Amino acid sequence: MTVATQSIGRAPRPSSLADVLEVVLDKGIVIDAYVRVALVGIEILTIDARIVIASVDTYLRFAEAVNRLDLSSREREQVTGVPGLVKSVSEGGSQYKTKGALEGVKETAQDFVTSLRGDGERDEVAARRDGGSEQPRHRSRDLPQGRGAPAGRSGARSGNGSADGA
Amino acid sequence: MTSLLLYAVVRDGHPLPDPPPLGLGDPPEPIRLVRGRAVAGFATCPVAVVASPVAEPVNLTDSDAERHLDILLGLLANGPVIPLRLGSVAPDEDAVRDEILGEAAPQLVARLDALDGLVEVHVDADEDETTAIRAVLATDPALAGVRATAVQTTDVRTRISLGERVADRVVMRRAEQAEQLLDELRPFAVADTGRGPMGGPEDPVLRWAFLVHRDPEVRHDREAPGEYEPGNGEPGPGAPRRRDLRQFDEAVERVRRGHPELVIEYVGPLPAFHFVVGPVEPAGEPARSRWGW
Repeated sequence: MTVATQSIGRAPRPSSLADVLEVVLDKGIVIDAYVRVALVGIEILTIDARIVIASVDTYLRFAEAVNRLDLSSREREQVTGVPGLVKSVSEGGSQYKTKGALEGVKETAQDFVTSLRGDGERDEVAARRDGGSEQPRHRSRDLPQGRGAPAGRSGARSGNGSADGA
Repeated sequence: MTSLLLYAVVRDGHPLPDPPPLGLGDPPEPIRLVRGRAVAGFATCPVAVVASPVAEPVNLTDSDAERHLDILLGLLANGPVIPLRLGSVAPDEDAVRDEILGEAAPQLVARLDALDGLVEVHVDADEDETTAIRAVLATDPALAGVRATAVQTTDVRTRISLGERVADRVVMRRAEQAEQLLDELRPFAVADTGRGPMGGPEDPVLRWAFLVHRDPEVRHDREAPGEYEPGNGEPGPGAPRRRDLRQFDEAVERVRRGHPELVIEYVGPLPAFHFVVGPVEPAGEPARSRWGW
């Protein structure tokens, strides 16, 4: 059994330290009272920080990428016929997710002006503080005013949330 | 002052690796079982806690996180494991007995029984951003006009507008990809749940945890006794006989073949981090009898 499954491309444990932390941190049940959680030494965690600060930078980068693609029309012609793209979003779950994600994108776009004024630094601080929190990150994330995680993503994470509490 | 660093709740008598591995902290001490007193309904306490002595103040590092995971993986090889939060510290054994091995013991052993033979695997899917952008440009004629304008301008708002439209399409694409992957993998898992942010313009396509039977042999499968045939090749996409690791491996392999545009990472078996506390959404019929709490 072991031989057959090992050959199939499943890693027995996460490969990088960041992945190990993602697996281990904030997971497992928390016992009450005497049993406290001491996590002073671990310098973390970049996993969620980028989520909070991604917005205008993302759009500009995407625009840059589009421009780069335009420089090479040959590349552009290769992309036709990528499978699965025209599949219509028909199932309820898909519709909800897509709608939520788009709303999230628009919310972040509205933050554009705020970000240009230099509030980005504050965002990073919030993200860093959030990374060290002992609360489940997806619930306690310290989002700047007017910026929210896309609703579709919170839907995808709701299972995690219910499994995370103690 | 010496305290106890706690790793997991296991059944009483859970075999530890021999010799027992060193725990966390400096200096590290070997892990051992902390056993409880008799509780109502049981002659002896049915659960025990895996712990190691640790000097205060506890100051954990990144490598301690790795060791914590390795200890849990070692325990998982010998039976069901309920992981405790990394860095859980108890002042002494009596505190462990009072807090974990007392009134909570019957509930904990029930969960261990429910988790027996089940392991968690993680599937992470991501797509190269350029690939995603190319794909959405190729399939969205409405973007052509915007592109033509944006390419010729240096106005930052125009460029942001273009980037936003592309990002919208990329997000839609990722949502569709995630739905497809889940449709293809869920039939092979006992339960499943999301693991973190995904689907946004800066996120991976999928970060998901699945619960599967570790053992390919039918033991508790009252729903389909004897129907599992190890040698009969690929099952149909609809009705797998057994939601075990082997079947799931094959399902992941099919997904990889079917989605060459995605980089799919697949890790496990891991302790059931995401399924130790209920209620859990069962993935299908075979789950219901085992996940009733």
